[in-house]
Amino acid sequence: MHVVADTFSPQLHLVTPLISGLADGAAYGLFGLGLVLLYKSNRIFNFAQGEFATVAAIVAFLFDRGVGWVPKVPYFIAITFGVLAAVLVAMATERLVIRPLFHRPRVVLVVATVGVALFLVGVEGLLPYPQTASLRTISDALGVRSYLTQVDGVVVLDQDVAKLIVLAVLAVLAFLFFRYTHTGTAILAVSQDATAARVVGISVERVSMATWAIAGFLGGVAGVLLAVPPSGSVTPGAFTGLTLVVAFSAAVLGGMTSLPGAFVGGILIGLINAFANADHSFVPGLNSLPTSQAEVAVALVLLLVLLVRPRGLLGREA
Amino acid sequence: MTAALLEVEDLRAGYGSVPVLQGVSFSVAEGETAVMFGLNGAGKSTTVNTIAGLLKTWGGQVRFDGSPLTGLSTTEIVKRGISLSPEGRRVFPQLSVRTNLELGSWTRRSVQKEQMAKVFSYFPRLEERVDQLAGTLSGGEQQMLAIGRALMSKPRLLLIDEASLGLSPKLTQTVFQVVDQINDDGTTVVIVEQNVGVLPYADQALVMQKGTITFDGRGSDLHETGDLRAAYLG
Amino acid sequence: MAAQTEVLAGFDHAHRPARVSMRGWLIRGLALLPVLALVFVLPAQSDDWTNDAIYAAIFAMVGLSMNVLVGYTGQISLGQQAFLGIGALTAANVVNTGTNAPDPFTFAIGIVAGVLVSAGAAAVLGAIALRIRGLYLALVTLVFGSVTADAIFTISSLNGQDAGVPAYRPTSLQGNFAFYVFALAMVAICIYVDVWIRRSKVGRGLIALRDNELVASAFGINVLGYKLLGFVVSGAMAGLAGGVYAFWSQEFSDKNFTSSAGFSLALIFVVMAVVGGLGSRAGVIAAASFFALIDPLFTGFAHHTGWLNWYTDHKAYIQNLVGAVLLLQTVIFNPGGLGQVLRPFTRWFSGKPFSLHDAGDAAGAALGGGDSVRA
Repeated sequence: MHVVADTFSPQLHLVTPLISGLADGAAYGLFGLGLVLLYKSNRIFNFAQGEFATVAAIVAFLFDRGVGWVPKVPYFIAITFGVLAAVLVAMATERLVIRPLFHRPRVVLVVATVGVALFLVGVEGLLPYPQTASLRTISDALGVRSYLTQVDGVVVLDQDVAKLIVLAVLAVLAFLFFRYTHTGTAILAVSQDATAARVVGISVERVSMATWAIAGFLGGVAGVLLAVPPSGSVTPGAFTGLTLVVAFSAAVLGGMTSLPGAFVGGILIGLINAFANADHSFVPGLNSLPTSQAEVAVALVLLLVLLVRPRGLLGREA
Repeated sequence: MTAALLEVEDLRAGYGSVPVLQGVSFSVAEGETAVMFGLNGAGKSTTVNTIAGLLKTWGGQVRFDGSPLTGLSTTEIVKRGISLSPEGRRVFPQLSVRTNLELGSWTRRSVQKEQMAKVFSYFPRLEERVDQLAGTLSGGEQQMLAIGRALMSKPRLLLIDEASLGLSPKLTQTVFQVVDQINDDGTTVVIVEQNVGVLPYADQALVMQKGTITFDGRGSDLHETGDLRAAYLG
Repeated sequence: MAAQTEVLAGFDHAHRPARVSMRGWLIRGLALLPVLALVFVLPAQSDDWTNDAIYAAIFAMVGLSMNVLVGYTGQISLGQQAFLGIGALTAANVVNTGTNAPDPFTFAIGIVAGVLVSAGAAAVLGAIALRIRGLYLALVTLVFGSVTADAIFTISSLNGQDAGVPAYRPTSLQGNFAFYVFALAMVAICIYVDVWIRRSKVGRGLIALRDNELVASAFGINVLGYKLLGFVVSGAMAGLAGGVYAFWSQEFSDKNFTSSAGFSLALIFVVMAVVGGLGSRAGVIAAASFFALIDPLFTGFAHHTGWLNWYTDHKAYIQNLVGAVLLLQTVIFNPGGLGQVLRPFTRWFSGKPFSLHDAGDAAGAALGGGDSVRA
């Protein structure tokens, strides 16, 4: 992550992974929210969630920089456009892919979302823009210093703090939404028995569209917050692949049906990931690929959860 | 003679490419209880499902209070005052009894409070279990919940599909009595049944065989003519 | 009680097993000729084409392995590239003759080792998988695939680091066409094993299992055992494909199997299996060939239409798009995939009368809403 101090100090072994773990954890949690939402509502894993984020990041980038014929707009307008784009893509996915497959086995829908992800990556890749660039951070756009403070020589970036705050706020809002709003209840009702929902007069089509729009919103927010330096970019497929897999593990850990769980799971996995990546090589020789130790750790956590407590930490059913 | 609230005219419908209703015609007068008998597969559920808007009409017409219902969404139909307690009850298992009922007034939130009080007066057991998850209720309680949920939109016409399935005789009688009470309080009821124990409560009796109505008369007439036995034993 | 036996009323003459005459077989044989030409004559035209054909054969084996997994266990694998890699890594390391051509015996041992190790890894995955339900299992295969690749293929003592592990072919297989025939033989073995299992008592158990797991286990069918078998056979086939792959490219390089390259492979394989029609051997072979040949085909096309530069720069994304569109089209409109399209022909070749309407088997059911694919 964003380590400024290069020297080895004893504190570094705890502080660096702690801070980077929290920051990355916020990322996983943000994706996790969207994943949990769609699992709660449709009982599927949405493998296109990462690409909703990428779409948002790319659109935001295009408007922020003013690339090609796209006009340059103020930063916060640009990221709004980005999130809007993600919402539209999600709604299109619902209408064109999910709805025709509504009654098929869940695994078919999962495969279809893989197809959607592939499709989006393909389209993104064919767009003419500098694909290795990154989106600006909020602190960049505001013209302020990029880090809040330093702890033991390790920098705490504004953007990372923003990620954590946004994640916390969204998790709480999402939780309240499902508990206390009519639409939230309707979404749950449709997920439990779509026919019964129709019987009481709920429009299953409208509910489904709303659900995916929210998922697109969550993905979009994740995208515009995460596609920033040092490790993020607007590369096509940026958020699918490894990030998404870890995000799924985070969601499973927290409880695939629990929105607060996505927050908790995200942070935990982020920390596990960071500590497993840290300077200690617990297993010599396994360290060749920088991420492999962390990957194995996360995979083991995932397996453990699925074998021992499938509903995760906060979930109420598997 | 009271005006017909529900008029079904030459209704045709089915599942996929399989036709089930082969031209069903009957009407139900406002304020009455109509019972529909028939064997499995005769088309009873298909009929009420089509009226409620769950199934597309292939032909014919359904009129409610004079206006046609064909092509309307379930949302619209519930708004107009028709409510269904479906086959198999279909409560929302992971939502509480209260939430299940609240969802019943999805289309008409203004009557929610008043209707919930009414539902509790019909089914005190539901009030006792109001915060329990619907999936943990017994079969009989779920049936009460399904009917209660259907009442939450203050319907003029209540459709009930197979309320007695899996219920003990005593519980079945209780449910029938409550349905009778609901009818007395002003709601027109069409109840699909296989249990002849509902006959005493029926103003109108319909028998369905192989997708058409083979008997349409007063409840008392059915008892006497023995058409029912004929319908059931072939 | 009549003196004569009567044909049962309602006996369906259409389903009476038809007898194919000599002329019938002759016609089928002639119809087979273009297929044979496609398989044998076309690849021989140039070294490049032979190379591509070998690649297609490798993909075909992976496709068959995914077929087996879906067919036997109802599960889809999102990490099949791991087994391909395990087979390749093992074969290359076991043979270990550096830049010298191994003798045929060592070569054979290498290939077999690849199969066995891969099957073993699949057994491990299977054992874990059996305790995990439905959708979560797909996730586990995804994680397993990428973690195995990133953790094991990057072990420096095994992967020859930057240079990779050389895997030279024995002298008899050095010619591309000879190796191609070898690859075809391996494909044939995979097909044969699958057919043999399904025709055996095991196969009947599998059908029962797929239709209703609960009932099958009540009848004493060892549900877990069969599912484990599915994983093992699937892993073995993919491992075989891996061995062939290693000696085709004459090296093992972890870069082909790790992080995003590996993930891309995983996705291609899923697309291939689905577009082929889960459960149809002919379908998946056709789809596999198509996806293996996409690059040469499109390159040729781009060359002729002057789009070559643009194509080369964007080829990965174009292939993504093609795969995605085909996948979505298959899933939404044509669940039986290519298998369903080809079924009238495959049935005809096997001796039944040609008919466009058929009680299809697993393919359509797998995606079309039946219980065949567990979720």
